[in-house]
Amino acid sequence: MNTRILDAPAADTRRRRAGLPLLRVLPFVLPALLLGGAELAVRAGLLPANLMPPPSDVARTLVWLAENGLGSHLAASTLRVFVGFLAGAGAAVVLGASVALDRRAAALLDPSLQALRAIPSLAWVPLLLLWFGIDELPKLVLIAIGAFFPVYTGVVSGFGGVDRKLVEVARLYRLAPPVLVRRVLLPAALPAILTGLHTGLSLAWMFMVAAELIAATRGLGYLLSDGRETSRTDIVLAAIVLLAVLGKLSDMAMVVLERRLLAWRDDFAGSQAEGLR
Amino acid sequence: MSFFDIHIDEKRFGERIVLQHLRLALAPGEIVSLVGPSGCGKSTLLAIAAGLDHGTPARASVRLAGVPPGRAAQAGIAGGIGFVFQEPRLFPWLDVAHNIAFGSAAGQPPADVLAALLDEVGLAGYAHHLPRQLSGGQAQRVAIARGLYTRPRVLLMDEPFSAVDAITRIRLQDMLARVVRERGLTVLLVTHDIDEAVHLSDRIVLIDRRPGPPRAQVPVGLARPRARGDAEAARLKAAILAMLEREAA
Repeated sequence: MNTRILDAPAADTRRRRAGLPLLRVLPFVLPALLLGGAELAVRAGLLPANLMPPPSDVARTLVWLAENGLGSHLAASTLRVFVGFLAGAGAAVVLGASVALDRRAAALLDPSLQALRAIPSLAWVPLLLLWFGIDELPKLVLIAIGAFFPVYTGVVSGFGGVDRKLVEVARLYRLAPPVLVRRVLLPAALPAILTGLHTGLSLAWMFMVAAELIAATRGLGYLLSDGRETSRTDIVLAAIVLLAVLGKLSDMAMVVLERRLLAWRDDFAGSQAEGLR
Repeated sequence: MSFFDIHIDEKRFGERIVLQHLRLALAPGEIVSLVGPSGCGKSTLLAIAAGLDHGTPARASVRLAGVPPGRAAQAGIAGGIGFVFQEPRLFPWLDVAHNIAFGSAAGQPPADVLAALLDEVGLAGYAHHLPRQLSGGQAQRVAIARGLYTRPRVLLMDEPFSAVDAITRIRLQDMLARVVRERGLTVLLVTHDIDEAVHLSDRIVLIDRRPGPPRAQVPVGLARPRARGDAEAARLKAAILAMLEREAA
């Protein structure tokens, strides 16, 4: 059991306030140590510079890239993630809601979708390349497939897990089915749906890299494979850093969205957000 | 003259008959408690009365002033039926105001109506609290306010105070007694708390685990407002307990 939840709330808040400066600093300790250590180790000759360029070189490469078309790579990758995620998540919400709310749709769709889910998504790559060539479409489809399943699972389990007792209250007031969905089922399912969207978005980034590594002339995945082919470890590392930043940014956007939409939730994450506000 | 009639011919869950040949007639403004051992079907009866029957449909008829409750509005009887569950069953994402107005199409209560209702149930100033910020007793007050929001004529309550502590229960019972008197509500209360039944009701209906008509109907002739620890109330309570024990034996 998590003892922090069991603490008296007042005492917990006080301690959290007192520990705030330290808590703000702690997340930066490990990255600083690693970067500083790598810099020193390479400069001291302990690590071969061609395999592990010092962080300062990677920083210089980032600046150089920024002046030489980095924007178009970033835009290409982000746009692919955005479009692929929207398509995959959108389809997942529609199909997931149908399966969760209609027994006939469930009988028709769910077994097939579960079978498709069992296929490791990267196994689709050769087929997508054969079908759609090496253009934009196979990349977008792959990203959409990657985003689809976590969202679908979240939507189905979210609607499926709605408290029967709350639905009974809605029955008492004879809400029409669409009103029941809007006022009870959707808000009750929202935590699971958002978790699915969150996971789906991280998988969209992952599949974007996979798609661009295979065949692309622009994008961060292209930078990665280009850097490997030209033995530019600094470019590979720079692309990894950029992927980390973009992934973290989209993750933060999801967290903000979740905090906003789920501020009513009575759980540890919620009370922590309140304490820090 | 009866105002609220429940006539259950038969209610089954699968092969098992839960309720049979049971008829309850409540006079306008009458407060009736339904007491019986767990599993005797008292909550099922209340659900049928509220239109929340599930499983094999009951062979039953429910009449409010002579018409089915769903058609009471067309028949010119304003209000209908309010229901309070054993647990508050509040929607955690709605604040107190929106939980209370959940049954209305708008979902947004007029400020004066809301303020009066909150005052009535002792929650003035709590309109914008979320359910997680409320104590168990406060949450149940919101549930009662939700039951009252549509201005019902009949209030059905399924062990509404069984999950709160003793002091809170007494406060909630007193609040309910006042609200019911002021509004002239007809109340059917399911409870397993004999004290509660004696304190609140005009009549106590005892039902058995064996399906059939009520085992006994005990009128409670005590004057209102009722004092707790009244000797007559204690005698009544002892008599009812004796009846329940006879069945258990």
